Amino acid sequence: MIEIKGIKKRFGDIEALGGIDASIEDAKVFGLIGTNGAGKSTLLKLLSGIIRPDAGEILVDERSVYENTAVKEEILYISDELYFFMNASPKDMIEFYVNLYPKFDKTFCKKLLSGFGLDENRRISTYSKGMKKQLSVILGLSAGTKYLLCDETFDGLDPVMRQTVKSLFAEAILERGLTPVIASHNLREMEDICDHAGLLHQGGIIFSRDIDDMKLSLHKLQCVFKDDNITDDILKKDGLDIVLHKKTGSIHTFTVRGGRDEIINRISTYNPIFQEIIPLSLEEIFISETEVQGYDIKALVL
Amino acid sequence: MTSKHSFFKLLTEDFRRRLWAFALIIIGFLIAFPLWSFFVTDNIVKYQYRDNVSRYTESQMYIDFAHYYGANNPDFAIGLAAITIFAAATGLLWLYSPKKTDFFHSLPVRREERFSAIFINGLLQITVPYLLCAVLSALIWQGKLGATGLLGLSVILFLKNMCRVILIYGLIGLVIVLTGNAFAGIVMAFIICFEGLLLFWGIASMIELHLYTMEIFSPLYNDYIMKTTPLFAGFAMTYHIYVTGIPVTTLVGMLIIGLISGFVSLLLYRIRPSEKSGKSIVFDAAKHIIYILVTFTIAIDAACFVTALNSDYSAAWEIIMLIVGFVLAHIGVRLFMELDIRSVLKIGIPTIISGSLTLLTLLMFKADPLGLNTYIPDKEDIESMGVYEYMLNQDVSPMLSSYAINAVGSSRAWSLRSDYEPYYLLKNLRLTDIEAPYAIAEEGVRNAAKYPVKPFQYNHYAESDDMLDMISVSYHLKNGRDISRVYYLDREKISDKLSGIYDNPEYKRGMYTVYDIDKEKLSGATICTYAGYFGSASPKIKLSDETIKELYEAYTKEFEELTDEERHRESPVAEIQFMQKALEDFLKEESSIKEQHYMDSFYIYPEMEMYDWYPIYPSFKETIALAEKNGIDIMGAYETEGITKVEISKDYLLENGENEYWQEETAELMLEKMSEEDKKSFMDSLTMCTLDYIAVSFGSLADSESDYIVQIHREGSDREYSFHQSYAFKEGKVPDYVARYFGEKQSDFGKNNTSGYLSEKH
Repeated sequence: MIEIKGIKKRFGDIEALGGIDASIEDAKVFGLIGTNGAGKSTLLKLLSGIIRPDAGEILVDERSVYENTAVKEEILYISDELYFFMNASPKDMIEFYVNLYPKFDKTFCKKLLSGFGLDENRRISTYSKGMKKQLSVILGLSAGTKYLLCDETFDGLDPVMRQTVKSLFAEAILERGLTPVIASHNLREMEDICDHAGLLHQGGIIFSRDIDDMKLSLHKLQCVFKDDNITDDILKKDGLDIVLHKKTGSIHTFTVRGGRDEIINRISTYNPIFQEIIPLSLEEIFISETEVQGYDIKALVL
Repeated sequence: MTSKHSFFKLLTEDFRRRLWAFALIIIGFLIAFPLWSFFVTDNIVKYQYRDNVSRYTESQMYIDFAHYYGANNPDFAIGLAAITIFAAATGLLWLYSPKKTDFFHSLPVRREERFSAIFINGLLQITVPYLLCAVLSALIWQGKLGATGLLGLSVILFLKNMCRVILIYGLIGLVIVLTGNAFAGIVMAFIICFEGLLLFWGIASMIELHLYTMEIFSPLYNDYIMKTTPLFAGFAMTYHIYVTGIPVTTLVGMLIIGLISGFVSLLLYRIRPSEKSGKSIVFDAAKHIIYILVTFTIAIDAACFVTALNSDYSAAWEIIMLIVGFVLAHIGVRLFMELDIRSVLKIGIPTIISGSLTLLTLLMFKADPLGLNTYIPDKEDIESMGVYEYMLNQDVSPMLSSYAINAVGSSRAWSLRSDYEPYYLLKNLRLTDIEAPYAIAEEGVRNAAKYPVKPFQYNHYAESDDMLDMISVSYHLKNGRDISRVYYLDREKISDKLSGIYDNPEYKRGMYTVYDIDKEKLSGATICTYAGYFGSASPKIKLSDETIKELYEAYTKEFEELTDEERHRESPVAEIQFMQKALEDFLKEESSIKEQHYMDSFYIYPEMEMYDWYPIYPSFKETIALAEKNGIDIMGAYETEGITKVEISKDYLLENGENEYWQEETAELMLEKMSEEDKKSFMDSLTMCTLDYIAVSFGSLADSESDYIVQIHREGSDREYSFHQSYAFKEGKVPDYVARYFGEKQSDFGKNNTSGYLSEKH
């Protein structure tokens, strides 16, 4: 488990992180979401021990990470700017990682390379951008570390590849309790992969929650009432936790917090002509949640 | 990296990563060593010694090998420096890339381990191929030229060169750790190389201008540069130290500084913030130090620069240039560090500190609140004193004045003396009778109070009334401290004090190395007489071993007793040189160094014949008698008996540009019917010394741009002759008939005479 306690980091006059508290549970895919400059990369660099915080502490399995090689052996960081040695092939990189990460699984790595159609003897500099990203994820997964920190690694990958990676993550989570931490500014792409998401904005985490929990506790309801006088105020007074309400013609669209059955039961008492629960996208969940907290999510992420 | 991932693994990993760089380094060494050796040895066999290779001696081979691969070969030094910089840069330049820095710092490797592995690997990449190629070259030389013993020499040369390699390697490492991008790295390297030099130039110039009695002697200057700017000094020495090469102590110093730089780099790297990659200066504290150092140095240098440029002093210009220099340096440093034009307007604490420091420094020099310029210790605190005055040190012998050798330091090691280097002399000269030196110093202090900046009207000869004389004085205090000062004063006012110092035996014993000779270790003696041919071609007679010791005792005693009045009244009639093995070995070594490095240059190799000639005056009766007892006629050249004719003729330049030294019809002055008195007065007034303040040359009597030939004809012998450079008249003793003749020939007689003596007499 990674615990982030009151982390602050400044770069000259710029405050990158202004006192962050969060925790990342083991064996879950954590999505770190935020706009460019929100502090995602800074946080990942702090988590991987590349840079030192100005204040606060980061504990990885209750141990400090900075200049702690034992902890760093359990963390692999994939930067948004990928780096491979000059003229190196995947084979060379495997040899390099084998020396550094004791649990590196060469066989697994070669199997993945073959599965992804990457030639282990070809020079990496001749790979496309997407292939390089695939290679970095393969190396990261093969390193056998407990934590895999990915900075914008999946941005630009096609949905098939994202699904493949998700299943690989799921496999690793089940087999050895891998905890991937994925930073991105793209909510749509994160939705396929993450179990838990934290929204970072202006150096602080606005909220951090389990995506399934969010999906289970927040619903989009579309309905048409016979009685035109039914308003959201009436429904609220009746105990419905309405986060958002829109009315287009006679169709009401509510975003309501609470259990699905409970919401349907309550709405049914108003004898709607039509009612339907529609699944919420991660984007909609974020819109709802952030608007509740007074932020305009569209300005932040989308 | 866990313990099972050993340091060796890191080393091999880094080596593998930099294999391409290693390949290039090997190619460089292969070209510099085996390939070049093949070329050179082939050249020697085919061209230089094609008839007889065996003539190519082993010692010559040693010299040639050292010439190509020694620490003093500038071409090789630069090539080696380039390889070193390349090796250091390929190892650490990733620190300039944020992408690479993030990658390496995310890995489970301790920083010190990574740095050490890279640092050592880079050194090995130079050391191993260098050593192998050097040995291979030695074998090639030996194999092709048929000699032995070069292997040891190649290893010695390798070790010497490695000292400089480590210095450069360590400094480049330090520069890269301190900076975040290549541009800043280059600027920082420049600062490391030249900051000390520029700072010293500014401070030294301020001292020379305002606290001018505290003049810094050149040996101290060199010493300072070596310590503050070793890399620059190292290369400067490669080109400019002709005498002893790069001393072992300097090489060891380079090695130590290189290792310290490497160690400091390691310490700094441990705390180097990764996020500073790509920035100019990585450490904020270093930014402020660099800012203060550079702005202060440039401001001080700019203030001095205007005076150096004009050779004149202006307080207004000094202050204007100080401000201009400071502002320009401020703009430059701010732009370099921040790469933001707005940063130029940033006036922070470092600006205030540097500005205050600059103004305070100027004030300290201009106002001299500590009274450093007029400092003189109490008489009671002084144990002994030393005085160096150019004219006092010249001993009226043409040879001696040109090529004396002085002892250096307390060890009395030999060193060739440059024109003005009183530093070592003053260290050794300890006059316990301080009355005369102290009086000179007091006069100097009075003048220092009179002139707020260094008087520009001075020279070593004090040849005219409006010129001041420059005198160096050292105070050896009872508390063990040595303090030196340089005074500018009117020689006339202190001439009797200077004479008193010359008459003091302590002065001669401290000044002349002839007194350092252990008479039991004398290896020879030579007398150069003025009989026969005069000048440099004068006959030199070696004395027999039996008489050397006796002669040494007589000469040193008589020279010690020689007074200043006597040496001005008389003129040397011969010169003597005592040889000792230590000096001969020293000169031999010097000569060999020259041969190694300047075979094709016009440098005159030092030979025993050129050094340590001491004058014999007519009053040195015992010395002259001993010489004559051994068959050396010293006074014969000055006898008037047998002189039939004296001719003084103008030397004409022929149309083809060659000199025609002797033509009967060109004789201007023919003194055929000289009376015995005339002959006597002529020979008596003649001197070998042509120093302006002692003698009146023939040239200065008339047309100073022409050469004059003096010929003395004797009965029953070939005529003797000499050129005007070798003959002159003693001060105030120009024979009347000669003066009259030239007076008639030239209406404005004496016009060209700068000494003033003739015009006084006539």
